[in-house]
Amino acid sequence: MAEITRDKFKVVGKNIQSMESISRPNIGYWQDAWRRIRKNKVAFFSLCLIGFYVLMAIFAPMLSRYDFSTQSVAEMNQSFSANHWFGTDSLGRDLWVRAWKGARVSLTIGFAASIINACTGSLLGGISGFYGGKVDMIIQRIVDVLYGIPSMIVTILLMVVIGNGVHCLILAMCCVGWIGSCRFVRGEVLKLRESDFVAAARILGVPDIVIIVKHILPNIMGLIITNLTMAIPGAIFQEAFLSYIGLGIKPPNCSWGVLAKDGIAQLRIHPYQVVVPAFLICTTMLALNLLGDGLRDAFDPKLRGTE
Amino acid sequence: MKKRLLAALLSAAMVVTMFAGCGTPGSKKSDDSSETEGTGKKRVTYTLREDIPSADPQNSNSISSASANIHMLACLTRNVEGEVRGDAAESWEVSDDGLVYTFHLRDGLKWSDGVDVTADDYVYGMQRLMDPAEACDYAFIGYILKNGAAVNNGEVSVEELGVKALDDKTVEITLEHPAVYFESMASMCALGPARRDLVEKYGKEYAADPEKAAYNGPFTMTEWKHGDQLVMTKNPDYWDADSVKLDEICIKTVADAKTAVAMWENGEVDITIVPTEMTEQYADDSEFYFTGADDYIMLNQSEGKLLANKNLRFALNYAINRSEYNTLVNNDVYEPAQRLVLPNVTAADSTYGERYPYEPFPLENDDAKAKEYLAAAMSELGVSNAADIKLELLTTDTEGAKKQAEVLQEQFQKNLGITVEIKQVTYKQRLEMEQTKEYDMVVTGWVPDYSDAYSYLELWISDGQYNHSGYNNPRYDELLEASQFETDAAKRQDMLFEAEQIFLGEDSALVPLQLRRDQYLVNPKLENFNVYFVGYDFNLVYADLAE
Amino acid sequence: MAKYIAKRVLLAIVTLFVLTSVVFVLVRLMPGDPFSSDKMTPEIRANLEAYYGMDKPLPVQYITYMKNVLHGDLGYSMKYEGRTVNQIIAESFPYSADLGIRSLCFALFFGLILGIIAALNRGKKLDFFCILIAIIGTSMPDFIMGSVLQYFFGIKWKILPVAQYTSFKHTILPSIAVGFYTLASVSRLMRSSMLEVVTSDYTKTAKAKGLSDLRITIKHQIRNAITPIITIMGPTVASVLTGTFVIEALFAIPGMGKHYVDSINMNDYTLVLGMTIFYGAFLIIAILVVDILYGIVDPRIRLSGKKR
Repeated sequence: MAEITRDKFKVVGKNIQSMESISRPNIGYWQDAWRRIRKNKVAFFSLCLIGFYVLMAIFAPMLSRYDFSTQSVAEMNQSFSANHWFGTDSLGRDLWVRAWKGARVSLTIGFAASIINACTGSLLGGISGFYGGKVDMIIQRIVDVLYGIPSMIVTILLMVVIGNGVHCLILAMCCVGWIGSCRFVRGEVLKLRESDFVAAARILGVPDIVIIVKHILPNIMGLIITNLTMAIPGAIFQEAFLSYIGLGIKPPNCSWGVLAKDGIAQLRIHPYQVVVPAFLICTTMLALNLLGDGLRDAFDPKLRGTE
Repeated sequence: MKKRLLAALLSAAMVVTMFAGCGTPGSKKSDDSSETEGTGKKRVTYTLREDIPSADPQNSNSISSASANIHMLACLTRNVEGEVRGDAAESWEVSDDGLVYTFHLRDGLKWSDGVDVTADDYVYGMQRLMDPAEACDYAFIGYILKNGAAVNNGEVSVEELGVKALDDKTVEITLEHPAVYFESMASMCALGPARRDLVEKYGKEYAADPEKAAYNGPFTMTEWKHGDQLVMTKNPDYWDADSVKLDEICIKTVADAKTAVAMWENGEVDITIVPTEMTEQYADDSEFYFTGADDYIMLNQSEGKLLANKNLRFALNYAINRSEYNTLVNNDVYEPAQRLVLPNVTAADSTYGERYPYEPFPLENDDAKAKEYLAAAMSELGVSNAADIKLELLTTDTEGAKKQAEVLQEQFQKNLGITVEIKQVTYKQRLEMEQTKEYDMVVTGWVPDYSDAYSYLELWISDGQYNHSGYNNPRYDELLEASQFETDAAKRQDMLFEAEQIFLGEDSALVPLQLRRDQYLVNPKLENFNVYFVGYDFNLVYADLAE
Repeated sequence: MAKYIAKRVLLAIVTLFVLTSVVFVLVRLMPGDPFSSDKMTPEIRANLEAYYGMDKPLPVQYITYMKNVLHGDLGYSMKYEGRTVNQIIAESFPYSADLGIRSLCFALFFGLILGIIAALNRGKKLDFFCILIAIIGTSMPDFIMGSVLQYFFGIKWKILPVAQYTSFKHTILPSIAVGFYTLASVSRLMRSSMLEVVTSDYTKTAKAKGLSDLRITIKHQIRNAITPIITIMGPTVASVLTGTFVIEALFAIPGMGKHYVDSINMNDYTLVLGMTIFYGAFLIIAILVVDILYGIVDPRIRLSGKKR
């Protein structure tokens, strides 16, 4: 039993710095979101599924022994089989390869168009809502005019200028697609602008840009993300609609919309041809939406630290 | 929680009843076929993908309009499956040079509003068609009339047109050149009668609604809900009303072909066309009819274009597997075409196909020959790698067009090793690009206006209005020109056949693809349903519904 | 308020004018012309152009057109002989509007209920179930949804009519097909914003005061949560009421949707413009109403845009 003596202790003095520091690791906004999204099983599974589709879209067409455009009279309209996992279409083309080839187009269009739209829309909507007055009026009138222009005309004109293809469709969707999120974000910002914490920040003389980034953005991030996950299906649908009326991508390339359209024509005779693209579209949408819900919760500062 | 659910259910029930309460815009006038069946009326309903754009006889610019109009108008003659009968005209004479036709109208003909039908109505109809101020799409039909083109271009006044009323009952028509098929053309509604007083009264809106026109045909239009349905009712004052058995004909606009077929299965419609995807399902219930449409790849052979090379054009023609193409694209509903002229058209006293059997190109691909021609073409063009020959295949955004293009691209690339790019544009853009010759190959077709080989061949005269291919062969032009003035029918046909042989066999000027057929689903009770491939789709004038 | 509305109406007219002018130019930039067809010749085209006044210089055409529009005359369609654009709209709009209202009632009613139930039961099975229904709505393109509904209910089981629009029974399938997508958006947005409201201070205050759950939901939460729905309602109402091409084609409904697509495809300039003006006016009114409603529903929003 050792004796405790005074000399075993020493005075360390006051260390202001260490007193002020936070001992637990500092969890940032994004870290926290990621942590919460992982905890949310449904959202995480959805993320994995989308990841899986992306991987399949990249690799499946490369690995298959069939080519997406090779036709065969002998193999027209075959149902699911060991050779053709998803069957063949009315030109005898392998639907497995076409489905993943289509995934490339649809996912590219969906993600690219909606992300670009969400960014443009939020930016303009944010400015419009935050500053109000003349700026708001001008932006909103532009929105009104753009809303009224039939998107088909824009698409046709763009097709004439740059030819049909994925880039044309994305561009066409970006011309008017941002309007939805612009109006939406504006509405939210209008509401937040009047909130106490913004008022407080203003009184403290915080510059506008900081108010937007630090106070308003985190509060509407959840809604923007929810909106984004709903915009991706929107973009994929828009592509499908344009394919439906014949303004799609360059044949023989295909998208899920093209496959679904071709499949619908066969609905009563070879229903499997619509089942495959419909299943892929549906599950993707399902996953995106569930992920969106998960993200919404993850990003919401009000829910931060709960659970 | 329970309360909340209950409230929700209650309000749901309210909403449903509210829905049930309010009527739909179409239900104001209930005229479902089921109801008329009860009254013992004989009503036949057929579907169209798109409502007829116009019921004005001179402004009818589509086959569907013409099909509706032949039921409502008595033209000078009536074409029943190719057999020409007198309709408003009881008899007619042709001058020896084949240029002057004199039609004698029947006695007692009346318009549906009680006004007498006179020769002037027919003269006015034709003048109206050619009047540049009326701007009729189908004015080219009347170019066969003397001074027709000149009147239409505004060079001479409409009075100069070769149509005269000798008296109230006699119409004299002078042609630009003799034409054996004019009797049948006289059955076309574009050359049909029009009411001067009503045209003056309604102007542009003549015949746009049932009350804005008068009819003198077997049926009169009684209802037209644009975009929805058009009803024609039997005209008791028609001179041949005894031969007309049906009480009503109804045209329903059903944009989706699958929907139309489902309606046929439910007995809601009597006549509809099966989409080619569904052909097998209805093989037993349906009949196939040629529509007269002839589809081909038009090749841009103007100077400076790759396809100006004749050997390359031959290579394309031998590389196509027409029977496989036909199976893939339309489930064998259409017939693979190996020549330009539809074999069914009239030629002297038989049909063109029987009189002149001709197969310039094989049904299936002949790789050896195709390669041979390709090799020749490559050495002429100075190309060493076949893949360096890049051709653009222009196509539209309509249903089926994409499939056609995909199959053709695959066949050309596989069988020849050349590179084919598909360019898909809107219909209007395709027409523009054809006109400005900004294409290599385009899938297109032709629907004839009269049953004669000339209708298909006149397209390719070197300065022809519709010749956007740059095809130019003086011998071809001469033959066609000469055929116009040849009065001996057999000799004339020989000339036309020779022209076709030059066009395909010597020049390989286009790639024949398919002869379109429609697969009709028809109510089994319907009798005397006539389908024809020129001028109209089908004729229900003499049809009957068996009890 | 009256001043505000007057200002907005004036702005709406300016917007409409700009929109018409832009589209007037755009349609003429489109490839091809209204009269081209496989059998068109240059001479006949010239006649047609003169007939429709298109032989005059573009500025003259523009002024003539604008003058006519001011008198409420949208001109003659170039595709449908002898039919004015006014007639075409007057005939087809009732169908589209009827279908639109039905589908909107369907979407709003069930959408709001689903959203509210989901939010109040956050994380429970009921929540998941509601969200699933909503998501199925957003997951299928309308042409698949419509075809499948038609196939099962109309063709296979023969419960409902296959097509056309003549009685209440005929309206069920198309209304569902049109409304499902809106239903999904509504319920998901409602859930999102309800969740925010549920955790708010006034909810806690209301609870502390001892108000019943139902009362809190109806009186306080829904009213506050409904703003985002109103935002999307403006454009949705406009687009749903003016027709949906795919569903109208599928169910053989003679609505406006078809004219949107066809008029553009056929370069029917007057019809495209007429449609655009009609839709644009509709949209601008809808958005104006939404902005006014905003002020009524959410007292926190000041419309005047006065800064600080």
